[in-house]
Amino acid sequence: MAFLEIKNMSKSFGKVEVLKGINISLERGQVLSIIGSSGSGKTTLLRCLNNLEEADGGEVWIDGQKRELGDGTTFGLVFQSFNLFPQYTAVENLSLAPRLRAKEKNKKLKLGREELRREYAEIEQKAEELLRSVGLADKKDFYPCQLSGGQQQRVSIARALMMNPDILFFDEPTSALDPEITGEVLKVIKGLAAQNMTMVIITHEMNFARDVSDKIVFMDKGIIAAEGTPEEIFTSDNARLHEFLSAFQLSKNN
Amino acid sequence: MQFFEITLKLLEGLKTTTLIFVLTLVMALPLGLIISFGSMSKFKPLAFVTKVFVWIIRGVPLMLQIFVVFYVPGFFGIGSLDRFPSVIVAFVINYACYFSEIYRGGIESIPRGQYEAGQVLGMKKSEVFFKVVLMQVVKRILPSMSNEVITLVKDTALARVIMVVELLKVAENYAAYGLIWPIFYTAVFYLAYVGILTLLFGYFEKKLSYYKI
Repeated sequence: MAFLEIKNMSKSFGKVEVLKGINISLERGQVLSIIGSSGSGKTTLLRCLNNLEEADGGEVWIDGQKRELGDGTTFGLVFQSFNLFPQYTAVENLSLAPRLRAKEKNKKLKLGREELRREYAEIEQKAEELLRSVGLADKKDFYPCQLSGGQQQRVSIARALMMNPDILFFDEPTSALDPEITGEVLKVIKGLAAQNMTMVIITHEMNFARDVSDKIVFMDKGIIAAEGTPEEIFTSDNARLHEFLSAFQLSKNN
Repeated sequence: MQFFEITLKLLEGLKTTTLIFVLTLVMALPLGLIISFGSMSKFKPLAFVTKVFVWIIRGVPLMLQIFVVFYVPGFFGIGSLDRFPSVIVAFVINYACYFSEIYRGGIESIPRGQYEAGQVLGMKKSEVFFKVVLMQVVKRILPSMSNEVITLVKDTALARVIMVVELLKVAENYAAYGLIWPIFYTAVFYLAYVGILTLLFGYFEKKLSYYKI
């Protein structure tokens, strides 16, 4: 059994069937890209996997264990619109949630103030390391409004990594960025791929998907219309996929 | 000499005015938050009842509400409140309803992504609200709150309708002796009061300007 198994996932909004039985499997350390036009169900799939929507049917298995609804702690999700907390600095964005958990644990086990301070220091150190790893060590005390879009997205990637996620999900991480700064975000994601982080990425960056992915899934109208290695996808003779990819080619050339 | 004496008397009236102002704020600010939760509740009957209540309170003059609180319990023989507590009860309920709508607007204006980001980071709903959302709401509603609070300063003058002697009533009492100018003199006190509040709110807004929403 693969590391991540999505079995027959379905979801409807009212009468609209957005996901019609999605099956995906992914090995540990692999990168899966999901491509497809707007409204094909990509984002809904990601939201269901992260418990932001409740799937109507289907199962998610991680490392041979069935994932129950509501235990949303082992996944990381990077949003299209970053969703950093504006009133906190970069490093505080990273440390907020872990600090809350540390405090809760400390209270429960009555470990005392000294221990809590030590744990806070550890969290702080980890946060700074992660910011350094995305190239933002010097921006740790900046507020989101003082950072560029690309920098904000890198902070949000670091924030997701704070949780030591088994799998990191990206929902169009560069769609809100102007073309000149998408590169810096993509570079960070490529760096993670090189470190064998298991990732699922929704993207419209075809070249990036080709470079970074072990596997690409093409979604169309709530189903997986094609899947395979980048090689297979970009040379596929699937008519719908061909149409989608050539539309991209066209917009590039214009 | 007379001017000095009257100033002292007016300051005494200002004490009552301030008491109404402070007590109303201290109680209406949290109560408003509770009411806003009611009107945003997913439990429809509660949301409906809350909205009707807010409509009634906002739809009827505050002066009338003061009369109702002071006189109506007596009609039903369920005892009655003294003058000053009646004023406080009416003011707190009235202002809590206005505040609740300001809170609601602020809370609903915070993008869903903020809640979702908190959720995927494993934060509890209450943590997301108090650690992430609330500060942003405060920043966003500060200008409307300053408006309401300034209005409250001047609304305190309504307390005189059930003979609670606040600033304006003190001045008015001199009119019975043929002294009109104290009434106009009260404007100085109100202006100073509101001036200080304006500076205070300006200071808060500046304090929160280090981030943008």
